[in-house]
Amino acid sequence: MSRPSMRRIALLPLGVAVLFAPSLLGGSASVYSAAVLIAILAVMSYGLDVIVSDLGEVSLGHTVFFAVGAYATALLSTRAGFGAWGTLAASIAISLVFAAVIGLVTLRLREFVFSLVTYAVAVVAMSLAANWAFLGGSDGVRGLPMLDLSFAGLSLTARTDRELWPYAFGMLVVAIYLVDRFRNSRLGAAAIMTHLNPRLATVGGIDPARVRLQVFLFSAPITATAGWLYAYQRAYVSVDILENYFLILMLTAVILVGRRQLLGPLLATALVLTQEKFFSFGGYVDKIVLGSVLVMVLAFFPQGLMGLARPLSRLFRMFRPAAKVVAESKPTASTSLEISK
Amino acid sequence: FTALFGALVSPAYTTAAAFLVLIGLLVLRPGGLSASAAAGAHG
Repeated sequence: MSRPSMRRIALLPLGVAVLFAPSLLGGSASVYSAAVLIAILAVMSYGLDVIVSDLGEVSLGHTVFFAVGAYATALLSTRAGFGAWGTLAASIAISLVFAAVIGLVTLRLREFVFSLVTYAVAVVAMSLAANWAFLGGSDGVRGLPMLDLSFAGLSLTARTDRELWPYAFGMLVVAIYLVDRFRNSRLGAAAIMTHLNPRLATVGGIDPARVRLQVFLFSAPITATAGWLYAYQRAYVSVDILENYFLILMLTAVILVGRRQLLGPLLATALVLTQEKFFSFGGYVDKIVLGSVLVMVLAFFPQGLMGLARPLSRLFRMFRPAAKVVAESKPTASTSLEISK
Repeated sequence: FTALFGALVSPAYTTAAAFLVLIGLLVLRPGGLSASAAAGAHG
């Protein structure tokens, strides 16, 4: 059995534990609310994770895809009567269009300039969302219906966070599966090669510009799907969905545990949101905490929390040789027999 | 330039318009206005 297959099987019991975690932690409304939000914002972060960790570019405009998913859902469900499946398909399709446009525009751009242009796109989107009446302006879009994924006589609805949790968990599982498949695919390998050495990648027959665009097109629908479910969870969408808070949360989620760690964004999002929901300092202090975490990780732990594993294991190994020497110095039965001969 | 900008763009959208101009400049001249269009696109 291949290593990726074994790893996926090993994740099964963990997945089951996570599914039942909210009920095991008391099952209160606040626990389910936190669990749903963790799942949604973790999926949002997985979209950016692919761009930052695999392509090596920092996109500061990924909140646009989150907003595309949310606004598409809000507008189509309240004004055109679309059901949840329809809004999901529309969110993915519209995010692909946006990703294609942004990807083509930024095709020749790298590093700082790429980040600046993507941030400028987010600013434009925020300005439009706040002022354009079509998008609800500063009031936003209200009155979204409940999530209804019913089909073929099977009732799949969610009014509360408790009922929404299985859908949020399912979306999280799908996102993690897709990212894992991507990293074990030829596109994922090409993305890494493009990141590490674009010239060598070109010599090897890889078109870096095409790979960048494809990875962008892969990442956008993941983040947009998170926006889709976020819209149903809040039943309200407004321009605050494009605030820097979501961008900082995404960036922190990508780097806190470590780059290219499959469960990294999920663990990091869970840590950050658990602090906000259950150990809150109130008001803007939580945002200061989030920003401080990002700065500290970038400054002192650039490899994330996983970077601490190596020095800790080295520390552990320092004590191991002494124990080994003591064990080896004690005569065993076989050595005693040889001496007596 | 500011007066012309204000005349062409509604006040509610000046931020969006200004950043669209910035995007255009960075895409066409990633190395800066003094660099040629073929100059490196690295930041």
